Amino acid sequence: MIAMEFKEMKKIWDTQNDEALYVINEDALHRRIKAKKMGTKRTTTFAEIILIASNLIGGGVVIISHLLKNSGNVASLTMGVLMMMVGVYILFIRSQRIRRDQQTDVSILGDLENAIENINYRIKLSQSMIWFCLIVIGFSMYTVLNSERSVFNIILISAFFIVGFIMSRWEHKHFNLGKRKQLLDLKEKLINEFEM
Amino acid sequence: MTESEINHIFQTWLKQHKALLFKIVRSYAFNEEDRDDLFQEIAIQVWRSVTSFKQQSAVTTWLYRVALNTAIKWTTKERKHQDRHESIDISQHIIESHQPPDDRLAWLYEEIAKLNEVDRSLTLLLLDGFSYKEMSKILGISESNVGVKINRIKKHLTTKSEKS
Repeated sequence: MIAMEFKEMKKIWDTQNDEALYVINEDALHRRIKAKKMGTKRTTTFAEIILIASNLIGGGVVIISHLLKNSGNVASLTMGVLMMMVGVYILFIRSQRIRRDQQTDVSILGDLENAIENINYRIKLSQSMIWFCLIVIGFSMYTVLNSERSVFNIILISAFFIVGFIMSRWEHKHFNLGKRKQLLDLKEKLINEFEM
Repeated sequence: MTESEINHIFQTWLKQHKALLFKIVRSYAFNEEDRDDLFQEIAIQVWRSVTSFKQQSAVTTWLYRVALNTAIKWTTKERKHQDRHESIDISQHIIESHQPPDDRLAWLYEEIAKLNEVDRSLTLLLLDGFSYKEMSKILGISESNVGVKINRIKKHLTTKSEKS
């Protein structure tokens, strides 16, 4: 029989307050923290930098080669300009995200809201990339089909694009949307007065 | 603030408030590996939070806020060890408690674990003697909301203890 009043529960709880009862293995902690910091060096930043660099460099290369060859291929020039614009756009939204991250949080609800904003940002980023990917695929396929490449080459390039597209859809659905739902559920639990 | 100053404050906090952190870890993680995982996650966030601490609140309030926030978010991640099968090095645990076993305390932890993440954090704050005002600041919800939730939690725990 455990029957207790809340005051008694508190007394039992307070028996844990002696700091000498706990031992922290500082070496192990430091090793793990160091490994973790190295391992999770901002996946979002990494994804952004890859996207910015690939779009700006890719777009630049396409435009320069178009100007040098003076090929008259409007499709490739449009694609180059589009890639440059996307690169600059991601650069802009990245600076907004960093500014938002630097704001000091004052409560768990504030932190949760910040986490929700961040996941919304990642969702927006991955959604934009899915659409952008489709445009690039369209332009690339148009260029490939109008060139004298073999059927095997066309199938290979198509397969590459399809796999990339499926992967980004999977990441979007399974990671970002799921994570946002969890955070929104938590927020709901925090602000709902009547749940128990 | 230099890195060595940050490290010094971090070490001091860790040394002086081990019990507080351990209570939170034990309430949110239910096996040794998860406890280590959550503890290191909390330690990282505490270390990062040193520069943001403006001394407008007590260190315990600050640590509670950082640790609870980390624990709540940690529970939403799908990489807890009870769910994964990858091999991990468990030869050296990060945190250990040498507290003598107590059935009533174990029962209390079991009941706390059954609550949702938010009610769990309120229960910990309540048991550690925080006022409604402090709880409301830590969680970012109104004092009246805290009051409603606390009354339900108290009633729930007392009823449960009578039944067990």
